[in-house]
Amino acid sequence: MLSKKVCKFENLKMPPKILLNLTTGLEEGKAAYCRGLNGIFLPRNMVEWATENFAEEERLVSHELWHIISRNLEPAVRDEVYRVINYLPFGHRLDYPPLLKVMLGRGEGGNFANVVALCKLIYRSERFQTRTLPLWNTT
Amino acid sequence: MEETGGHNAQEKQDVQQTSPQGTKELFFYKETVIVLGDVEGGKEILLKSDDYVLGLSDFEKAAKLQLAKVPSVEEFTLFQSSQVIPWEPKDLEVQNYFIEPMGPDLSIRIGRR
Repeated sequence: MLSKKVCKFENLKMPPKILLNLTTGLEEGKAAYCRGLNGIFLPRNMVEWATENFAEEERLVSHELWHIISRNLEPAVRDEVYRVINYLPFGHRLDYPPLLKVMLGRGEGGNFANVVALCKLIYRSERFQTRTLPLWNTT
Repeated sequence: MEETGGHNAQEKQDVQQTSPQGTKELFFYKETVIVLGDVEGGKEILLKSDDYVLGLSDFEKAAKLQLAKVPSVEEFTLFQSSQVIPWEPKDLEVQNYFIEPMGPDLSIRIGRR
């Protein structure tokens, strides 16, 4: 699966080593992720899948390897590749809508229940106004 | 913040090279190998204030640390890096039943050196 998307590139710029690192998982919600140009971070819970769920683990690491490949592509090439799946450069960072910002400003940042409730409220409000779920920005 | 692609001098410094003893190397693409990383190498990556960290909102940083106050970038990266743990001997078997079997498949499909 991975190769079908990658094999066409004959001269990928890749780091000499790709490191598979182990973590507790507490730092990113027990999800796997990549950082830097060659770091893949696997939480303990996902590594333990490997004993009984090789196919899923292979799929996971293939996914993370693609992030390593794409991080090492020239920006223009990377944008072109992601355009295939309709991922386009946003051009600026996302920000939260004003109402959510107010709530977060009250120190609600760590309270997921409140934030989720507010997101649902915003979603219902947007639906009522027949608008799509907001991809917001302040710029 | 947008990721940077390609390898310039600064980016090469961001590539960690260390791995624990007893690990095997899986050839992935030409000169590139996949290995199990050690704790120090993993920490070093996560301690960097890279585009990912700098692109996080205050809310995201607070939520990931489950704090009601906004952590500094330093506090955030320190917490992240502190979660890197060593591969245990039993984990090294991962190479046998996971990494190693992937090798021929990936190498053939992506291009062994």
